[in-house]
Amino acid sequence: MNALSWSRVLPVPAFSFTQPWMLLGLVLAAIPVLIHFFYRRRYQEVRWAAVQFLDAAVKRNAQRHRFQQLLLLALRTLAIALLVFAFAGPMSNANLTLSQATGSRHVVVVIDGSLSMQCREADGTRFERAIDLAVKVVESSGEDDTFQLVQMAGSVPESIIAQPTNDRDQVRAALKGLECSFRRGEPERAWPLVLELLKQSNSGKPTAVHLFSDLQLHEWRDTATDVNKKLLADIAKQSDLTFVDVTDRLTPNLAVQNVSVDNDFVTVNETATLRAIVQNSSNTVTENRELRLVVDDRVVATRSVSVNPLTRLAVTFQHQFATRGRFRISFETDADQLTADDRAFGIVNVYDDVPLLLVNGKPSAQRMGQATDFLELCLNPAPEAGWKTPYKPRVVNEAELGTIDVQSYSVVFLCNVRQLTQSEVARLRSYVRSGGAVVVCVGDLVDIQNYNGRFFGKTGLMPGVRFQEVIGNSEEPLEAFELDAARLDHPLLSIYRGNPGHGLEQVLTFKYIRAAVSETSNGRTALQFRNGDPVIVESKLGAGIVCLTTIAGDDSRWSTWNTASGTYVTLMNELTQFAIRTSRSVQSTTVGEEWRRPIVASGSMTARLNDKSDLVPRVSRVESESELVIDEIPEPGFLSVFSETGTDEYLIAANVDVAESDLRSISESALRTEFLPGSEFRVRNAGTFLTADQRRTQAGGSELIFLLFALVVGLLISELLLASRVGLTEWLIFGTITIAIVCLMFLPASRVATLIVASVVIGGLLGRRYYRTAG
Amino acid sequence: MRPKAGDSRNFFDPKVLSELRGLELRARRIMEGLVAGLHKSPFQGFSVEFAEHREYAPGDDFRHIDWRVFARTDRHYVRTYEQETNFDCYVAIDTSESMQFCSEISDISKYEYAQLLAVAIGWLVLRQRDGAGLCLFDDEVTKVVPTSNAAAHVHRMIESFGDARTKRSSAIGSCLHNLSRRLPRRAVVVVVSDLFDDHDQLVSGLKHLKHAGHDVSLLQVVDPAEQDFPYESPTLFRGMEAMDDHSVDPRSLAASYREEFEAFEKKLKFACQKHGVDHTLVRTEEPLDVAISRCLRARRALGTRQ
Repeated sequence: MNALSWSRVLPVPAFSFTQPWMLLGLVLAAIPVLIHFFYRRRYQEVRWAAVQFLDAAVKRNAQRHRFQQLLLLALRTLAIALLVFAFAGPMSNANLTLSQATGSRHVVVVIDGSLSMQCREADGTRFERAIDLAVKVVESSGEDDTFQLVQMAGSVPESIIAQPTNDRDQVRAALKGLECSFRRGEPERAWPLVLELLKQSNSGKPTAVHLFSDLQLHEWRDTATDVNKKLLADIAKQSDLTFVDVTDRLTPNLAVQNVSVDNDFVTVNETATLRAIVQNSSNTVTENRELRLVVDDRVVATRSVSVNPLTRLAVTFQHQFATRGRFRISFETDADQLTADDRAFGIVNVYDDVPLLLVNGKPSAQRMGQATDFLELCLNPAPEAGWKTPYKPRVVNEAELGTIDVQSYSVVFLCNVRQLTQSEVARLRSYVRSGGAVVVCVGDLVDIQNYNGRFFGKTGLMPGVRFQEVIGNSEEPLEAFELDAARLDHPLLSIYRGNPGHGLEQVLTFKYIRAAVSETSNGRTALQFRNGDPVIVESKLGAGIVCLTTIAGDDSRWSTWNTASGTYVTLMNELTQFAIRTSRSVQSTTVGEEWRRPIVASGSMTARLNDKSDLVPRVSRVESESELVIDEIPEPGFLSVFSETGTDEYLIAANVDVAESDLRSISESALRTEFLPGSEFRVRNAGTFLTADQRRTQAGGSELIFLLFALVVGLLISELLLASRVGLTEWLIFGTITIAIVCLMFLPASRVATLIVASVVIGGLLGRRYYRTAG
Repeated sequence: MRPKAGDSRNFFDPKVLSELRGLELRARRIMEGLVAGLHKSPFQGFSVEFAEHREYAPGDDFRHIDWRVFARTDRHYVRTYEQETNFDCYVAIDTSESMQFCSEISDISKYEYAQLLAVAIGWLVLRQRDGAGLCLFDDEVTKVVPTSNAAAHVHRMIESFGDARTKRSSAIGSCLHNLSRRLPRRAVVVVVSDLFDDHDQLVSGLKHLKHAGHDVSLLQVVDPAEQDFPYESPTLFRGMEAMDDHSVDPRSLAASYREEFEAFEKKLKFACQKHGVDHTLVRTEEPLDVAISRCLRARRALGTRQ
């Protein structure tokens, strides 16, 4: 057993008091002494004849009598002193080591700076309360105590004071300088850092870790992995670990989250359905709270909402945008205890039309002879019939691909393009990574080797995907391949789900290019043949997406999908919507996370958050590709990033992590059973973590007070028995009762019974003494 | 009942006397000398002058039964003579300072109680026509009143007390030695004292008296407080007879004190039994008749055993 272990089983009482002025009452302990001397002076005087017996008795009892007198005096003095101690509200660290009690120690102060700590309690925010308590710990520390300071918020905990210091001013200033973040709490990220700091301290001093946090339930439950538990257990093993819960109660909180648009894309004067989630994380109903829709800083609609306890409510607003462009929208409620989540932000792109680029790889003078003809028709099949789509396709030859500005198109279709040059692939890759979408439609001209080498290469658009061979024969079809119409789990096929007879099962394919999708790639098969070969593969790249169809769309001899039941029309429209939705529509991020976006422009970029604070984005270059990186978006709102040249411009909505809105705390019992079973640590509420005048944390203050009262009772009983000069039998009875009281004392449920028994014993002895005296 | 010294009327309190009247003081030993009547004597017929008849009592000599009276009345009467009792009884009273002790729970000091006892015994002895004398002592024998069988002698005894209280310490042993030498003939010696003295010297003096042929009775007079030690609050005990002072908490000392007292009594009683001395402990709260009755019963019991 090492020294630390011994220190755990050998507590050294180091007391401090909640009401130290009560210690003035210690002068009362002198009362028995004064009474003793007073009575020694106030004796009666008797002339006595039988001195010889008195003399003998005095000689016989001199030592015992003196000892008994001193013992009685000590018992009475001690009883009063303990009573005064009990009233003074003693606090002690039950696990203080000897060196802690007599020397210095090293303290790692960990402050939770996550968003939920902004919640306002009665006397300020939880964060302010945590800082105040931590400052008090520092101010009441010993001269040789050393400190390290950690702020944990988000994925990267920050070591504010990395080197142990005993400069209290420095620590105090550092604490006062901390600001609560909008990040989510990830306490598990702090454990390795805390362990590292404990290791660094290496001063031989006893160590303590004080974690000031709201112990948010989700933060702990979400990270309850074995690894994290072990890290925390290691901290508890190496130090005196105390969790200081800075919450008062379960605070009601209504949060607005997840702003989204139901429409695939919003066009001018089209009714857009704007949606948000309102979450009530308290145990009470939130009634008639006003929810406002704000578009470009203007309230356009309001609604009253009532949300049941611990439920989420989806709220929608209908709105028409009169002009094209990017709109900043937000959903807001009235401010409550936690204001940061009372507003959620989103971006809505409103189009006149959706520009699409169709690259034709098979020029033809015949009607419907070009590779893009059928696709163009599919994307806008019957304008004369009133079927209006927002798509505005533009067909170009493959030779133009190298020169045309693809950035202005929402989707680029490569239709039966034979080969791609390296520069074309690079341009397309940059386009996709920055949020574009490319759809490859194969055909009979496609050079498999070229595609495998460039398009599917490492620096291509779909790494991990490869063409293998052409399957089937469209000229003399001997075998037909059916689509696996039963697997419709991909979002691209959501329109078919729940619609039997949708047509996919009728499609027969006679020829296709077999593609292999590596498990390690981003590629995901959206639609496949019954033999498992992919029909449609999608793969994310940067902020954009690349899709691949392995059946030719321009040749009905390959498959019946462009003739049977309009399957091709439906699929291409869905594929286009999916591509747009999952590329350009990605315009939101979470506060505290890193934001990166591939860029094309080479000029300097500027980022501005909420039109006021400038952030400094950095450009990260990997080989020939550039990425714009903002390490962290510090607060919720709108982030606009733009280049001096104006070629690139991004607008991003930054929202707080929805998990932070749930203000419920994990219980002490859950901590003990789920996280640190068998480990020694303490959980203190801010109200009971009394640090005003001491550097020691409270350990079972009430238990200590009860113990003191029990000791006083025991001393009084002893005094009575001693003063009554009881016999052996009575001492045996007293001993039995005392043991029973001590046993009962450690069973909290029996404390009342214990006090009753003690009272009866004392009452009985007093009565007996009185009776004897009177008799 | 707190009599003043020299006030004989107190000693003849009718109540006290009526209680004493039916008692018989019997010498336990056959006395040398002219003892007749109630007391067995080896010297018969020393005086035959008839005085009165007295009802027969067990122990009386059958020869003194008046058979005529028996024939007339069918009851046994014995004839008594004027000088049938002729033994000397000395009452030796301790007048030392310790005998002045009178606690709050007692109405009378040990010395005053001893005086009453002496007078009562003297009166009783004189009523039997025996000779009663008095001896006072503290650390030495201060006064000896010779015996007389005159009824008025009791007044002389009372007057002899005078202001005999002294502040001197007691030396009972040496006084008893002295007394045994000074008594002219064998007598009944009743020593009335608290006996708070050296045990060995006391026993030595008793042995000397016994050796001189005297019949010795010890009447140990103690104050109830001296035996019970009932004190509760801290007390400064100022020693009488130039003994040390003790400031003590009586509650913590009472048990030991009582043990010491009992041990002393036990040792004294054993020594008395060994040497044929009857010993009676009398508390000053005790009625005199009861005390004297107990003394006589003790004497009779001792006489029967011997």
